[in-house]
Formats: sequence, structure tokens, C-alpha cells
Amino acid sequence: MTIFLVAVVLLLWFVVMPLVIVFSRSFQGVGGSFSLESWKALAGAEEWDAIKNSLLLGLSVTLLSTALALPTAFLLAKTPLRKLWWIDLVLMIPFMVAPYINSMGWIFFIQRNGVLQNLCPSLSSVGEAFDSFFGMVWVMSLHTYPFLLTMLKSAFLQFPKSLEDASDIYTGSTFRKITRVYCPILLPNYAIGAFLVFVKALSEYGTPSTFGPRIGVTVFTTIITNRMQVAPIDFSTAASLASLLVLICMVLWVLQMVITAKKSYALSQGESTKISHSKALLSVGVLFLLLLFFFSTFIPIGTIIMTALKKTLGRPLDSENFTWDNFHTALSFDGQFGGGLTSVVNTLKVALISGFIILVLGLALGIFIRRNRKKNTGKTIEFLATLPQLIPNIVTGIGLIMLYSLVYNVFPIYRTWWMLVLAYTIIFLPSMLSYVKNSLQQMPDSLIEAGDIFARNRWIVDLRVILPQALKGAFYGFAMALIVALRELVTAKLLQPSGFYTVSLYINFQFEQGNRQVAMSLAVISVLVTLVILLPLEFFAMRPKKGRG
Amino acid sequence: MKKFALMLGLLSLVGLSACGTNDSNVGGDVGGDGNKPTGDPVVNVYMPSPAGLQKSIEKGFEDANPGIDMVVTSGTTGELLAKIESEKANPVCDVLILASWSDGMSALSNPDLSLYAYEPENSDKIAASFKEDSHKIYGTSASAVGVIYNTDNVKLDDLKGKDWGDFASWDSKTHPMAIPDPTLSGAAKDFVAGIVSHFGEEEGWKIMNGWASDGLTNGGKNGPAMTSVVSGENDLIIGGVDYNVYEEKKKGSPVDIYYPTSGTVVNARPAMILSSSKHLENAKKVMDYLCSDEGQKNVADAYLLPGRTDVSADSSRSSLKDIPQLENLDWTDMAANGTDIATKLVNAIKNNK
Amino acid sequence: MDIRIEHISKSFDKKTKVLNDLCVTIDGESLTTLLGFSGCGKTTLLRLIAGLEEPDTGRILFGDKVVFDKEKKVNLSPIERGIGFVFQDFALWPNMTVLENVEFGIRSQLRLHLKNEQGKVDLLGNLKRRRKAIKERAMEVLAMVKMAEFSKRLPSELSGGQKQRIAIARAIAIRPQVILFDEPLSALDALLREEMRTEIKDLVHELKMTAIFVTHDQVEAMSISNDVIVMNKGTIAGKGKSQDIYWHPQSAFIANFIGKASWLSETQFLRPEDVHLQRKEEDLSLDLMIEEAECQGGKYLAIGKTEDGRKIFFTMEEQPEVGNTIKLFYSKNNIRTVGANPLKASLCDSLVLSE
Repeated sequence: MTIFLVAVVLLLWFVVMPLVIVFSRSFQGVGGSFSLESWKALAGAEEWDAIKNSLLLGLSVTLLSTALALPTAFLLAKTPLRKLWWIDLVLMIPFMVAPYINSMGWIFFIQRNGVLQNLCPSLSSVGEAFDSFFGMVWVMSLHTYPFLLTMLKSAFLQFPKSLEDASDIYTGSTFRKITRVYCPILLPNYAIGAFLVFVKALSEYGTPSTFGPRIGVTVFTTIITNRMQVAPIDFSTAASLASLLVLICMVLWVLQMVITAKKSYALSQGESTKISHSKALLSVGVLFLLLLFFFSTFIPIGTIIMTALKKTLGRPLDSENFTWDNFHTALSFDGQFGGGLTSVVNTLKVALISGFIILVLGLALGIFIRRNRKKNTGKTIEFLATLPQLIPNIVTGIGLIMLYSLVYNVFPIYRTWWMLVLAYTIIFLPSMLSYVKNSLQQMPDSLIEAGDIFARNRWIVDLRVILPQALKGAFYGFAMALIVALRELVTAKLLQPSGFYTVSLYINFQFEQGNRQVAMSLAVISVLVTLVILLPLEFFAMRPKKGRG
Repeated sequence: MKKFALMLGLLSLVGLSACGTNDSNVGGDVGGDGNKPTGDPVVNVYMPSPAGLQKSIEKGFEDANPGIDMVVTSGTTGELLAKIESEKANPVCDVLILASWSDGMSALSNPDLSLYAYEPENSDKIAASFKEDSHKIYGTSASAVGVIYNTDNVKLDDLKGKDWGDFASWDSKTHPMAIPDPTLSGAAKDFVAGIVSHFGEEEGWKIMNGWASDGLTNGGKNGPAMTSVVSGENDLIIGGVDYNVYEEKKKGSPVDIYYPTSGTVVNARPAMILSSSKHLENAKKVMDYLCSDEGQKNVADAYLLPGRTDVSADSSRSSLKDIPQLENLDWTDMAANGTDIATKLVNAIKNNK
Repeated sequence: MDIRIEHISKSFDKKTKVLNDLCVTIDGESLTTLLGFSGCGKTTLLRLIAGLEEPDTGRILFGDKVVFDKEKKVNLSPIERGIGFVFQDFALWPNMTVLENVEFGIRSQLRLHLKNEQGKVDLLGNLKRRRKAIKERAMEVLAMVKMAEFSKRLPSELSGGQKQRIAIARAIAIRPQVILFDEPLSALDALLREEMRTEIKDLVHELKMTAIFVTHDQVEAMSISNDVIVMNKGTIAGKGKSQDIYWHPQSAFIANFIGKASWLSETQFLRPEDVHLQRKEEDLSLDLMIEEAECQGGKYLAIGKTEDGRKIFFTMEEQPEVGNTIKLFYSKNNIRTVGANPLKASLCDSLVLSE
């Protein structure tokens, strides 16, 4: 019980409190009195425009992601391509690259005098067509569709062969098969995936902040940072915008829960789904996947690399315009913004510290939740610890600012890089918990009960029986936490202490200062680091298990 | 659902208590931490780009004042002012430098921002128009805006003799043009306010709406706008700051700047001490340094215009007296209306897209 | 050491009671099975005895020791109750070797002392001695279940039967006075099941433990145990020695559940063994039409129907022809009467025999 109370108090302070501060701030008028002004301000032209754009963006990205993910999931689950497990890995790459880097890659690709125009001048009008709201939706969807892909693919895989056979026997109509069998059974998984994508699109900052200004589109996140960071600042409106954003996410979450709770079916895990051996389908599928890879991975990453190697930005990359200098500039401990390597060291420092905190917290809370999963204590902790998942990073960021500037005298961490540690810890805790939870979920209750019967106290069971099971998920989560620290932009921007640059900040500041080649050089490095950490991890996670189980 | 309701209840409870602490802190905080000895070996300077100038000032100041650590926070004018406001409960900034004179004027009249009057050494040599009677703000450096162009795609001959209004009929299909977002860039904001101030409300808007309908696009902050010319994405930037151009030119990029015939807005970059400073003595030293020979040389090396009349600009750039200036600018008016004008122009650009 | 269950109730949600005011005594140093359909509450009762779940009411005593008392708020943890538990799914920790699995419980029992027997501080020496003692005891029980040579393997490298032997070794290694089996053989195939039955029976008797064995298999229950407790819908339906409960069940439910019963009246029935083809002196007779016959290896179990519609079960050496009529005989002495041998004096005065 003491453990429970301590955990609740800590989670309330670290997770809930920033949110509460944001909410209460949105009702604060001049001089701290109660006021609804900032909520009324949401109807203002710019605010309303941003809200509309955000919702439209969320919807469009969800639709386009579906259009990309559904056929891909089908191909990977129901054609012989299923055996090629590494395709999953390749298709995950755009998801591993930070969204703002992807956006920058696309911008350099489509812009006037950009890579596309250099390589193929006749297609430049196609490029210009992408310089629009659709282009932004496109770039974001390429980043978000892997979420849906994972969800839909597992739904397809869980679809039992016998159910398909039964549908074939009892109805000849493909339409009825799809509407009465496939859709209802796939819906819960789709709802979860679509919710994730929508929320991700709403809370995304990297793409709107790099791509948005080109096309004059502001969204929730960009207008919130604008209200927070550009004079005349308006914390209260930022707070009401942030509160509205959280409310939208919560409502969607409840909706998603209702759908999944009402409509989910326990499918037998035993027999795997049917595979179609149609040659035509396979060749169209392979073509589709190749195109998808080309657009989602090859174009942005290729453009980034090409940009990083250019001497003069406006000229095509040829032997005369080729240089390694940008990498030399990016990989130094000195220079603008403290030098790229300094930013790498800074990032590593923050990443490792928050990673270890998350590791320990994730294991402790994960074990506590596993122990008490049927009790209210376990459910409470789980709710609190997974709450940040519903809260866009930007809201966590401004909540931390508002909270820790108030309590500076007690916790003097505001404006130090410990704020970043704190922010990353809060942001990543839910994901870590879900990894730990997943590893513990497969563990039967009897293993823990056996522990309780044979061990002197529960600590021994926690340590010797549950912990080893949780470690696999926890280490995966730890690596993912490092990646998040490497790519996280909006909280870094909001909480950045003076003179402290993380990799993402360095890339962004260099980008904004006009040193795009240098920015892209460090972007290439950060993509490489991400892939070096993640690919082996995913490789082991995805590789089909052989031999003994 | 019951649990959810319970959690909401809990949240609101915490919320109530939060509001309580919130209010008490706002009142009690300012005095509380302010008692720290001012002998702290730190000084916090909030300064806009260029990053090169930030670095040279930091290094120069620390060398000249051993034992004092200068911490520089970088950002646009808007970002810096926002940071200061967000830190109201626990002020950090000691010395603030802004990129636009009108923002300096606004700072003077901002009831939330109390400035500290101080006369730095050598401040008498600062140009008269870069100073102000209360001794609270000093333009220790200045920039001018102009028309930045890509020399690969546009020749100086195409521009010669053109005035601001002529760009309403620019061939922006073949040679795209953009303006730094005046809601983000202080210099661009003063520029558009200056256009209205100089040409008058009606003529000024006729010119700017002309740009918008001709196909002017929003180039974002100063840096990205500059880069878009370097990369050849845009061929013209109207109202781009000049120091960026000289820096790029030195790197070999195909860019140059042109000042239209009726002149441009020269924008002094005001430096000021905040009364809330916890390191007042150090802050004064920073002001002294900014006005010193060495501080001014750093300014010139960054291709900015020095604030002191007796220090000359870098030889590769036009000096203050060679830059034609828009006449009869009413800075008080510009400070008051700048933001509105900027927003209006940005919207006009958006609607024309 | 007897185990006494007094007025135990348990429900997991507000609607259904899994156990309803249950009282029973389990004899010490013998093997008792809890037999019943799935969902009758037998596994729940076992888990309450183990301390894995907490009853809503009542008391549980191990001998004179109260291990649970709702009113006095006593609730000993499993380890304090000193029990061994063998799980249906073996529940071997996959991250530990066979030896480590067995050592785990022993380690909890052998305390590490700071001083040695001479009263000198010797942590390192004690550590070594303790390790040795733990390993010795673990190897000893592994030998008892004939698994010593597998000590270094991981559970994933063992077959089902081998896993269950390890699970049993782990349970007896802590030398419990009470050992609980939760359908331990249900995951094994038929042949192995019979072999393990004998081994479990022998082990329990050799180690003089009080054992409770949950199963839904009547044959298994009767072959393994001294006592059988039949449960139905959260209550005790009956209790007795294997033979008694077969021949003299306390209720019609038990009579039907534990074997084939051919009912002559509401309370009287015959077992298939009571009915034969040859007439003996003073035998009574039945005229049947054969309805069904199923082969049971060397003989056939047949079902016939009397004119008034009663079902009669009997065995035949040769395959009977369905549809034929047949005359069967039974001795008057062999008529079994339900409830002739009432349940032993119960602790619950309110206990009602369940139908």
C-alpha cells in the first residue's frame, strides 16, 4: 500500500500536475483572476483557422495512411510475401526517421531548383503540386502509416483460416464477405490504429513547423508554440489551445475504447490465416511495395544525403559541387550552436539519464501493475502512467514550463537540461510500460503464484521471477527511449536551456539559419545512429523464432 | 466509466490545490529569489541571431571580464520577449538585445517589462537616432533591409532604378519572390511598418497588396528566407536583412543585395538592462562591452552596422551613410501598429495563394 | 495434520458464489481428491487453502494452526502456511534451470546466518555451506523424481511429463506438510498420466504429507486417493473412501457422476457390475431392449431400456445386437440405496446434501 501511495503521489506530481497547471492557466485572466477570455480567444480568426487545419490534417492523414497501410498489410499478411519478414523492417525505416528530417528531405526534393527539378526538369510542376496542403498530408502519412500497418497486419494474421473457409461456404458474395465478416472483425484493430494516427497527426510539430510556413498553414502545435514563444505572448491562449487539444485527444480515446470494447472478438490464435497464391496479385503487390519504399524512404533519405554533400545549395550535385566539408562542420565540438558533436554529447547525456530513469520506473511500475492488474491499485497506476500517451508532447512541454517556473524555489531545475530529462521521462514512460506489459502479459499467472508459494517474500518473486520476464521489453523500451531523445523536437524547443543544443535543435537551428547542408549532415548522422540502434533490435524482435520455443 | 469519473474527480481536486499554490507563488516569488547576492559570476544575455555575433561577444566579454560567465540565449525578437514573459515569476534575463527598434520602443512602454536606466561608457558616441532620452535602450548595432537576389538568375541591371512599388509588377512566375514573415522577423516587421509610415496608409498598402497579388510568398524567418535565395528556390527576397547576404557572399553563394531608390529602413538593434536583473553589476559590464571599441568591432565583423558613429562598418558592405533611407519614419507609430500591419500582410499573402 | 475448512464462502463478482458456506475436514497424511465438474469450485477451494486467494468468510485450520480467519483477520501467506503446490501448467520459471527451479523454494527456507556454529562471524563460509546444502537437497529430490540428470536443462528443453516431475520436485523440496495438486496430470497424455498417478501416490505416502488433489476425472480420483470429496455447484456433495463413494454414494448426483447408475426407483440403483446374464438363486430379472453398445476393449458396455423406460447399464463379453431383447438378472442384496451411508458428521450444521 505504501508503494502504491508513493507511486500515485509521484505520478500525480510528474504526470498529472503539468496538465492540471495548463488547464487552470487557461482559466486565468490578467492578474490571475478567473476568466474565460482565453477560451473565447479560440474563436479568433488565427486560432480557429489552426484548429480547423489541425482537424482537417488529422482526418486527411488518417485517410491517406489507411490507403497506404491497408493494401500493404494485406500483402504482408495474405500473400507469400508474408514469409519475407525483413520487408516489415524495411518499411519501418521512415517511421524511425524523425518527422522533421523527413519533411526537410521532401522540401529539398520538391522545391524550385530542388533535387527533382535538377534531375528531371520536366517533372517540376509535379513537385510544385506537392508544395501544398496535400504535400504536408503526404509527408506526414508516409511517417504515420507504419502504425496502422502494424495494427492491420496483426489483425489480418489473427484472422483464422476456418472463419474464412466458413464465409466461403456460406456466402458466395465477396461484398457480403467483406462487409459482414472482414470489416467487423478488423474494425477494433483499425480503430486503435486510426486513433493513434489521428492523435499523432494532431500532436505532430516537426512537419507543420518545417512544412507549414511554406504553404501558410498553421495547426494546433505551431500556433501553440507561436503563442508561447513569439511576442506578444499569450500563455493563457496557449493553455486553452493546449487544453482543447488534450480534450480532443481524450474524447477520441474514449470513442476508440468504446469501439474496441464493444466490438472486439477473441480470435483463435491457432491456425494462421489463408495465403493467396495469385501470381497477378503478387506482382502488383511487389510493384506497390517497391513504389512505397521509393517514396517513403528512398526519396527523403536520398535527398538528405545529397544535400549534405553539396558545396553550393542551389546547384546540382556533381563532382564540382561535391564536398565533405559539411560533415566536418557538423562533426565538431566547436562552432555555431556549440558544434554538432557537442549536441550529440548533450543528447546522449539527456537520453541516457532519462533512459535509465524510464528503465527503472518502467520495470518497477510494470511489475506493480502486473502484480495488481485485477485490483484497483494496479489499474490506477496503469491509468496514471499511461496518461501521457494521450497528451501531446507539446502540452507536456508547456505544462512543465508553467509548473517548474512556479516552483523554481523548491525544485530549481527550470531552464536546466534536467527539464529535458524530465520531459523525455514523462513522454516515454507509457511506451516503456506497454513494452514491459507486453512481455509480462505472456507470462501465466501461475508462474507468479508459484513464486509466492516458494519464496520467502514477494520482493524475491518480483526480482527473480517477474523481472527476468520483463527485461526483454524493458531493454527494447530503453533503446526506443534513446531514439525518442534523439528525435524529439517540440519539447526540446520549448524547454531548451540557454546555449544547450540537442541534435534535433542543432539541425533545426542550422536549418533556420540557412546552413542547410550542415543541418542535413547531422541529420544523416542522426538517421544513421537511429538505424544502427534500431535495426538490430527490430531484427531480433521480428525475426521468426527458430528451434525451441 | 466509474473509474474514469473517479480520476476526473481526483484531477479536479489536484487542480484546485494547484490554483491555490499558483496564486501564492506569483505574488511571493519575485522578492524571494531576488535576494541572491549580485556578485554571482554569471550574466544572462538574450540576443537574436546572427550566431557568429553571439559567439564573438560571448568570448570577447568573458576575456575582458574574467570570472564572469556569459550565458547567451538565442532566438528571434518574439521568442526572446516570450521567454522573458514566461519567466516572469523567476526572471533570468539580465541584458536583452532585440533585432528591431520598434520592439525596443514597445519594451519601453510595456508595463510588464521594467527597464533599468544606465549610461554605458562610450554611449555618447552612439548615433543619436539609436538612443533615447531615458537612457534605457541603446542601438549598439543596426541592420538594413533590402532586396536580396540570386545572382545566377537575376542580374543587377534588371533591378537598377526599381523602387518598392515596382515589385508589384515583377515577373514572379519565372523569378519567384518572397518576404521574411514579418510576424516572426522583427526587421521585416519594421520594414513593412516603415513602408506604411513613409508612403502613407493608402499608398503603402497599395504597394504591399500589389506584391501579394503579384505572387509574393511568405519566406518564413530571416534564415530560411535567405536560404531560399541561396538555393535558388526564390530569386528575390523583399525586405531581407543585409548582414546575412554579406556572410553568404563570403561563402561563395550567388547572392547580393539591392536597396530600392526611395530608400530602406535601417533598424537599430536595441540593447537594454532589465530591472529584474539579479546580476545588475555584470549587466552594466555587458552594456559597457557592447559599446566598447572591441564590442563594436565584433558587430562590424558580423557584417552588421556598428551603433557608434566613430566605428566604421566592414569594408565589404555598404556603410550607414551609403544606404539610402526612407524619410520621415514615425517610430512611435511603427511600434504601435507594426504587429497589425505584419499580420494583415501575412493574411493578404495567404489569401492570394 | 488434518485440514479443517469452516464456513468458507467465496465469490469473484457480486452475482455468483463460487463457494457457498463450505465445511469439510481433510484427513492428515493421506491423499484426498477434490472431484467435480469444471466450474464446481474445486480449484478455487484449493487456491483458498493455498492462500493464493482470500475467502470471503470462515476459517481454515492446518491442524491446530489457524491459517485463515476472517473474523480475527488472520491470513497467512502461502509461504507461512508451508505448502507445496503443483500447477496444472507446471509453472516452471522459464528463465531458471531445472536445478534453480527446485532450489528456489529451498533458498527461502534456509536462512543465511552471519555467524557460524562456533559463534564466529563467517558470512562467506556460511554462504558456501548454505549453497552446498541447498544444492544437495535439490539434487536429492530430483533423484526422487528420477530427474537428477536433467538438472542443468531449461524447462523449455523438457517434455510435459518431465516438467511435471520437476514441478513435483520443487513442491516436495521445501518439505511441506501439505502438498496441493491442481489437476497436475491433465496436460499429459493417457499413458503418462497413469504412470504419474502411481508415482504421486507413492511419494505422498512415503513422505507422509497431507495431499489434496484436484481432478475432474473420476477414474483418476478413485485410483489415486484415500478419500474422495465430490463437489457440486460450490458445495460438498459427498465424501468418502473411493470404494464407499462408488458403491454407497450419498446422493443421486454422486451416483451418476462417479459411475454408471441404472435407476430402479428414485433412490435405488444398480452398478453395471451388479447385473449379469446368468440367473442365480433368488435373483430378480429385467426385460430389456438393447439400445446402444460401445466397445470397451475386451468387453462391451451396453445400454438397454425396460418397458417403463428405465435405462440399464450392463457389460457383455460379446457384441450385443442393437434392437434385440434380453433378460438380465441381479441379486436383491446388490440393490444400492442412495444416502444409506450418510455424510460423516459435518462441521456445518446447516450443510444440506446437494442433489
